[in-house]
Amino acid sequence: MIYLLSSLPSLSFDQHPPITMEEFLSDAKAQLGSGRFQKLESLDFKEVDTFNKDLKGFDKIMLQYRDDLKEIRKAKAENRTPGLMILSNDLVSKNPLECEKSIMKWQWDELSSLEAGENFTFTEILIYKLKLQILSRLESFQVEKGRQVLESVVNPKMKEDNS
Amino acid sequence: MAGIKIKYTKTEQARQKKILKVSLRMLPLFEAMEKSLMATINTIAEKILHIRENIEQNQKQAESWIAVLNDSWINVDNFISVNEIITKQVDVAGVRVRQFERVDFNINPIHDDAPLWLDNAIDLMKEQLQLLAEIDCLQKQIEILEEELMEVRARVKLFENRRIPNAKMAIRKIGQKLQDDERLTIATAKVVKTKKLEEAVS
Repeated sequence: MIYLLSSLPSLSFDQHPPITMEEFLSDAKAQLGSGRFQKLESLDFKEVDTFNKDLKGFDKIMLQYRDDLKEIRKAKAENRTPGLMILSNDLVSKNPLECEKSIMKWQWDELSSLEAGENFTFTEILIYKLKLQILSRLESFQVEKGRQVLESVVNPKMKEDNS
Repeated sequence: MAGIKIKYTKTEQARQKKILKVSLRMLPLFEAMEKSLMATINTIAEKILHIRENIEQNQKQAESWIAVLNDSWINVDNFISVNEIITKQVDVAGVRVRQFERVDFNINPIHDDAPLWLDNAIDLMKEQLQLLAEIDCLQKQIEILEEELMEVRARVKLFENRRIPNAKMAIRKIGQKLQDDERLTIATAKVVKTKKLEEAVS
């Protein structure tokens, strides 16, 4: 565990991922016992259900975050200011990219606060994976590829009704 | 007129006069139709330009956040697709065309944990798809109207260059021929009369 954590490059938000997920998992597989590795491998930021007790209640924070997203959507539909539990109201006025980045930064910071006091623990490894997922996701936000996604969807097919 | 056989009869002359009368009455109608079709095509072309400007404007506005559409965690393709484009039949400048009504989308439900940008992306895509579908519909209208315009132009040319000049010429020729025939008949009658008188005298 100590060797694994010492050998991993440090991560900071908004940087290019210094290590791929495959490399990280390969290193982890070599250093961790099978039980722990399975826990690590199944952990996925997109699936709150995969968060285990080693993440010290991060699943609860993410569930509150989900409630906030629900509230933002509801408030938008009702044309009112959302009442948020954990997210900042400033998010709503940001453009979608900045909004998403702010949420990811908040998630990053929450993970960093979980890390406090953790020295060479399994929790730290789990957090490392989640942070690496955040960085990989941030890396995917590319203007040209975003344009291509828009183009691929905006390709209508004409069907005429018989009215 | 060359190669056309004219019957030098009063009935044919009356028929040609009728053709000329009808042609002179129809020509301004076809000319008006031509103008109306041209104006309508121009109006539709301007409308297409305006819609294209809207599309570009939407794209420009989204440019600052378009990168997020490539989010590796979400495949936006799974959330929106066009079911069908609803159009209705209308008469434009006397021509039957399909007019854009709306796009019927297949929108999959957005889960609570889906990122917020997805809502904006779907709104943007819906807007762009609607505008592009409208352009498609208008372009088809132009195609149909241009076909009609070609036909009307051909008719105008037919009346201007053939029917009216031909009828005029036929009327003139028949008139001349009938006049000549009449003169010949009178002259012949006079000759016969003179001969009969001479025979009677001798």
